[in-house]
Amino acid sequence: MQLPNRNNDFLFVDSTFPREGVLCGAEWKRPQEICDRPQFIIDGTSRMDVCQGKIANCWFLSAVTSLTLHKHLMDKVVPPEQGFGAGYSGKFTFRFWQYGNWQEVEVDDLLPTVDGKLLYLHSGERNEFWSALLEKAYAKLKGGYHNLHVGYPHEAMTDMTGGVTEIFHQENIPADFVRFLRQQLDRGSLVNCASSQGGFEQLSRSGILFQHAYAVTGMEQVQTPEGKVDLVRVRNPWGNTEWNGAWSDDHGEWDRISPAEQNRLQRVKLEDGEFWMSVQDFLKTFNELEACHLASSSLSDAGSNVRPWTCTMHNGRWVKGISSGGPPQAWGNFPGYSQSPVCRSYWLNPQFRLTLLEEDDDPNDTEKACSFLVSLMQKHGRRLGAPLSIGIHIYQVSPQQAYLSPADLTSSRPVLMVPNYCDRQEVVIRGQLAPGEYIIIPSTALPDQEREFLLRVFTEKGNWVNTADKASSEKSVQAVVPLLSKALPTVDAANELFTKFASAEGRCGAVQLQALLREAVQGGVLSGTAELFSVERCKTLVSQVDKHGFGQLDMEDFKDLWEKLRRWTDIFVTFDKNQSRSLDYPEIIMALQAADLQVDDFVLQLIGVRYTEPDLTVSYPAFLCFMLKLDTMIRKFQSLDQVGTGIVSLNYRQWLHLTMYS
Amino acid sequence: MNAMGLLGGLLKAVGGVDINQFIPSQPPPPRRPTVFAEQNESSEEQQFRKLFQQLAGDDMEVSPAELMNIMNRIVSRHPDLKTDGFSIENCRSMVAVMDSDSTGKLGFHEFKYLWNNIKKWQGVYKAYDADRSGTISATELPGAFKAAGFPLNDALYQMIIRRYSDEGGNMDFDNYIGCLVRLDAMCRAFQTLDKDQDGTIKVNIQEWLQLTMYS
Repeated sequence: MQLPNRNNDFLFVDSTFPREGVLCGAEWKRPQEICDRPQFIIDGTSRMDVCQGKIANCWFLSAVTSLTLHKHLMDKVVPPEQGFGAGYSGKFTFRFWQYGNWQEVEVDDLLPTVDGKLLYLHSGERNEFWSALLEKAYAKLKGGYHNLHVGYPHEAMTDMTGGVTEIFHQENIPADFVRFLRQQLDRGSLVNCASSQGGFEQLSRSGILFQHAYAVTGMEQVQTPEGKVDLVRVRNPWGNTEWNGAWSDDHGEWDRISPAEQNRLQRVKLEDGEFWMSVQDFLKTFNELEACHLASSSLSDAGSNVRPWTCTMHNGRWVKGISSGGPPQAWGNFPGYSQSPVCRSYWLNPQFRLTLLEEDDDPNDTEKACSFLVSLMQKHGRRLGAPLSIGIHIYQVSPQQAYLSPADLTSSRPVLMVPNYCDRQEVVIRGQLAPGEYIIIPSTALPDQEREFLLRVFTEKGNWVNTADKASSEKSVQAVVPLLSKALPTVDAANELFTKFASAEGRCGAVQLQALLREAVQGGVLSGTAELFSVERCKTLVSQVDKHGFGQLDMEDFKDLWEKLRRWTDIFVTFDKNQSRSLDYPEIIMALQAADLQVDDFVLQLIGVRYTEPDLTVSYPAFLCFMLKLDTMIRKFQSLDQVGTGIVSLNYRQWLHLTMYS
Repeated sequence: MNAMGLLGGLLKAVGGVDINQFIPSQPPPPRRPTVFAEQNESSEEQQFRKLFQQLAGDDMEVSPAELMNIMNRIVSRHPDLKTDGFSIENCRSMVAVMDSDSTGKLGFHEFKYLWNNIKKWQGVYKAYDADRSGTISATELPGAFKAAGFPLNDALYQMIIRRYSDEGGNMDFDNYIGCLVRLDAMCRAFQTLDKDQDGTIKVNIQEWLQLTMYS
């Protein structure tokens, strides 16, 4: 489908919009070519502005419909101060939440039409265009209209709120519904309900429309002569057509409670679409429930008495051979959890430590428990092809356990897990656990699958989540593993070697160091590695310890270097259990712990990517290089950060000196 | 004293190096999956993509070993570029500093950026090798680096010579490319981190280790 020549109207044309997959014969037209006096929004954004076009994206429409019930959130996605009046340029801007950030998407207002009518999403009002333009912006975000064909409402809901959506059907609506709903409303979650019976928007005798989304806006307990009754307030987004059963606007139930109580509940006898009903009637009438949980940042405009969740986000990545450890068990029909063999690589998956201290603020709750939600979202699933099957397991740990090691995992069972690996963009798990320390492990159904992910944890304020870094643990393996030693000559013997290879001025450059190291490993357990010491590697070694910037080592520099190399060589030999003269990636983690070099998981992954061979092992010279570099870089940082603020300031020259000379 | 020495001295006299003098080439755009990228491409880009597909193999990413093969094939056709061959270690370092998404390999846009720079710097190398020795000597180096877009001060040039040139102070082609790729990446990193553009950056230990260990 070709664009007509649009240069003559001087309006914005978005050349980056992916135009494939739009119906043949459709024409791109601007709103003013479709109708007279187009407008962006007429009388606010409402559910009536969302009418499906010739594309199976009801999942998107249903999310937009839900959002129209919550104006402050809608205004974030659809900035209302745009239009066709003064300042109109043909360009419109929308905002979507993508993996932790709000992203602006700009589109032109050329919309696909057939016979002068909008092909896709349109408003009930012929001259209102916010919804059609929103759909176009969403299509751009997803790579084209054709990519909107299949999806789940919660995906679009997440893209427009940054929240986590949970969906409940009849069978999994929580048993203690009153308490559940009160918690959701207290936290400012968006709760929508619908009845899946009957025909589309068919009116039932009780005044409720079938297959139509309502918003749950409140909940109260009233005192009646027979006792306390729990009531739910529901709003029909149409602004009319209300429930006519018990506790509806004009129902006799109200006459049996005091005027003060009526006043407290703000009983409104108006055909405004909002009404009260009892919890029993609510559960009989609505069998589908959707709760979109928002973090405090999205809720700034909401009522002051909500106590929203606190959201912690962590970006992570499953990398083949490094952090893509697969599922906890080998697949198969194992009768009991404890009998099935533990996957050896499972512990390599990224681990996150969940600390629960703050109990739920719920006076009706006598148990000490902390509620939380964990969402695991794989990134760019729609563009990279099929989503991977992903899952979440949560284990209880002691405060001393920094992470779960392979040994820990053979004796641990998850306290909470997603029942089955699921090939959705996002999986969500809700939990309520006693205060304590837990480890969350997100994993893929098969080992070695690669993908980036975003892990979000919603908790009460005062609880938190950190990465459980494998190589920054406090526990020392040295105590457990005695180091083998004497793989390299002693300092005294090495000094003789230095004298032998050094120049007349008593200095040793990279080439001399190469010869020295090759001789030093001869005859020992590492003798096969001599050839692997390249000049390049030796230059790296020299530049780390060369205090004067001569590109050469003097005797003193050499002594420092040798002490370190000896110690790390002992560590290398100790952890090279099969004597292959190379370490596997998991052995690197142990080695870093033994050397007391602490790094976070991301740096650990980078070391894995940068210094391992294609078979994911690290050679002896490469091991020495990164250990020395890591040791030096940590020291340099500490010497720059003399005050101990944890942050160093560098100017351009210092930066280049430090990074180019290494 | 030659002109470059004078300029270097001047820069030093005004208090070091000015980051604003470094003009980076257009940085590589954010990575997108191949399917998406193909939709809006010029014919020149499409031709380069075909070349890339041949070089990158099935996974559509250039690994350090693939980069090494490509570079060594190129230099074998240019006898005026003296080199002892691109080592795997050098190529690993180049991939690491160019690899914005930490996969250990270069995607299409990362590779294209690298490729264009190498083409440009190869021209500079030949132009500034005044004595036709096939290497860049210590006296030729400041001029070459300035032409490549990196006006530094004398102290930094001395440091670079000690680290990347041989014992006679001569830099061969593989070390020259390795050094410039790194320098370019570090300058871009600095500019990205210097959000308020006041000429200093603030980093914490995690950022520091990420930047220095993956290079």
